[in-house]
Amino acid sequence: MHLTGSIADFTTELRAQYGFGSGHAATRDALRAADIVGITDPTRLRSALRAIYCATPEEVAQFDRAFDAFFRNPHGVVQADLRSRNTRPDKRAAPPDAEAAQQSGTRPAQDDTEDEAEDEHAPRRLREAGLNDAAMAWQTLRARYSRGAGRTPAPRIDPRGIDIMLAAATRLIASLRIARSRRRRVQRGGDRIDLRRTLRASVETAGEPIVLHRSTRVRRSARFVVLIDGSRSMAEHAAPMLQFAYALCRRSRRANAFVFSTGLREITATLREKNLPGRTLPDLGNAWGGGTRIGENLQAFVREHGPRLLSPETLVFVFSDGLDVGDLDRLDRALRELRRRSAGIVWLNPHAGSPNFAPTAGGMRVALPYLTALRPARDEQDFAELARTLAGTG
Amino acid sequence: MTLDDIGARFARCGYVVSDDFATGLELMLALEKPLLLEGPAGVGKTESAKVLAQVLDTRLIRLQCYEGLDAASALYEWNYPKQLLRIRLTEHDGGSTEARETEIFSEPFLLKRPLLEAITQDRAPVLLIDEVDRADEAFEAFLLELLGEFQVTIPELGTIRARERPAVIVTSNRTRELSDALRRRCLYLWLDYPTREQELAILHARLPGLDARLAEQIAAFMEFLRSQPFQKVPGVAESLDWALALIRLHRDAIDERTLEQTSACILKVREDWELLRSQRARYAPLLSDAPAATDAAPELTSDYGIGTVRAHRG
Repeated sequence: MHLTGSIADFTTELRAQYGFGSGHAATRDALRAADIVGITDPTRLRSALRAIYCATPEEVAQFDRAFDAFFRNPHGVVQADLRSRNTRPDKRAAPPDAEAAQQSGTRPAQDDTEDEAEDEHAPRRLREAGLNDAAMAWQTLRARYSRGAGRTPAPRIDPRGIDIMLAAATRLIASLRIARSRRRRVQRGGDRIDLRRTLRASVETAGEPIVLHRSTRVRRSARFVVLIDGSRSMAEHAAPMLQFAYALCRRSRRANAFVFSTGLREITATLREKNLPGRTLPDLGNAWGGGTRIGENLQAFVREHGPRLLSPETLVFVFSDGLDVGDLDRLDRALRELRRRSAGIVWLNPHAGSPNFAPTAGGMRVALPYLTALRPARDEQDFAELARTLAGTG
Repeated sequence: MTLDDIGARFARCGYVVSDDFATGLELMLALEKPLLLEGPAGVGKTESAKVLAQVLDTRLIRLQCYEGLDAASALYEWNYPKQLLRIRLTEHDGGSTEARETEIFSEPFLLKRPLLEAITQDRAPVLLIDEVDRADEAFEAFLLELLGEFQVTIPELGTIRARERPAVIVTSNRTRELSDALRRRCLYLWLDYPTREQELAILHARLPGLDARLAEQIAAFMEFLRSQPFQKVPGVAESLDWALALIRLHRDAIDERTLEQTSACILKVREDWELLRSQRARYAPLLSDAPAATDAAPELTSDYGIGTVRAHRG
């Protein structure tokens, strides 16, 4: 019985090919689990191992594919049983984002089936290409091997002027402490007496609380959400905005960035990478260089990420020229919802700085009533100015 | 407990578990590891812990998480008034400061909060840490020691180890990402909305008197509702509410008018209701075309409103 080796290999495979974070502890638990549920019923074994190896819904969605691929290989031990019984079609093990998106309807209905077919081979192709970087997210893989890759070159984070951007981000984050945590921390002059410390100190003074220790509520920085319009008309103006989004994500853990064109995509994880300036972002698929559907994407954002990211302490930046080819009514509803659930919306328009600018684009007109501010975003000076203004009023 | 055992015992308590879930529970009990349940609101995450306590015939200790939850309300707190009194009473007894400190920082002066309570029971309880995503990131750190080692360290007192390891269920609605450290200490299960068959089984398990055809119709309609991009997608709790409302209204089928009257049970945001109305063509086939139970349908004439006509009036 080579079950031990086989499960250990499976752990390694999950780490290397699918970016799971499981280690020895998982192998040990998996062995015990296999012992408990037995290896005769592959479906049960799979549910058991799934509970052990997975830690996020994304991993759950990938797991079945990984399990099937591994235990159907000749070097897996339980394969004899599994191969004969495992008649579950591969379709069920579709990649996580596709399935999730299909359910929630984020991605506009397009060639999903084809994408899936492509994705079936992604891990293998990746291995062939010698790129088994464990940290590489599935989404990145998916993008790299999907059909539309290379349609519009993905943007690059310009290293020039990045210092100004980082300084602006730091300033903004430090000054906008609009969020008040309910957690308390010991502080001189706090608004409440910290009984624990006071009592402890009073032991030395025969129970007379002479020295009062106080505590105060922790204040923390605001949350930031950056939504970048990456449609064809905006792509050429987006460089400073991407720099600023990078700066925010580098400086605050409470910042998240998204790009959208016909689809929406989160790029926060990529932007957190330290050595990003000078490098090109991974392919963004339908979230870059296509048409503009602002309303649809903002709605998708509110629905998908709203519960996680929107709160009265969230400041939302929308970067767009407001030239929407989609449904303006949807834009109106999306913005109303965004405004209601956030601290404010700052609209950054690359054309807003020019002297003869008037917010006449369809999307801009709809948006105006909901905006906290409409600011230009042509270069790093605009962003430095933005940070100064917001810091002053915030 | 084996898999079938768990399924059967849960079913007896009116809770339908999928095979995945049953396997997760079995492993949780066998490996003595916490089980992290994630999934949309209203799929029965909290309920599962209550039922588990019932099945294991043990106590349920619940910690409802909220923002600002700290060690003092979750783990332990010193009983300050008692300490203060003791200091006053022993004021003239002499004795060193150290001795007094040791005395007032001993177990009789400790107030046990849910987490400490859970590991100091003689019989292993079920510990439910509900909606852990509502507590702030810093709170997760308090949990790590408990979930990993089943022990709590109190600076003044030392480490308290669990007498009996509790069965721990942690739930999260994903309003924020949990830390990797917390996730890695738990078994993980994603609890999704039930399939049509599961929903049917749940309806029958919870409402034994429910008409079979009505149950089918509810399950089919819920399946349709969950395919829509609503802001608040209705969960199992909503479909149970709805079924109960329909029973109370003496309806044995859902038609257009019934749907309108009872929409409050399933859709809780005005925009969602508008969205549903705009999809009328798609859900119309799911409704009964003839007004259901015309003879029994009460009109809005009684002061008591629909459904309360059976109320006992002395």
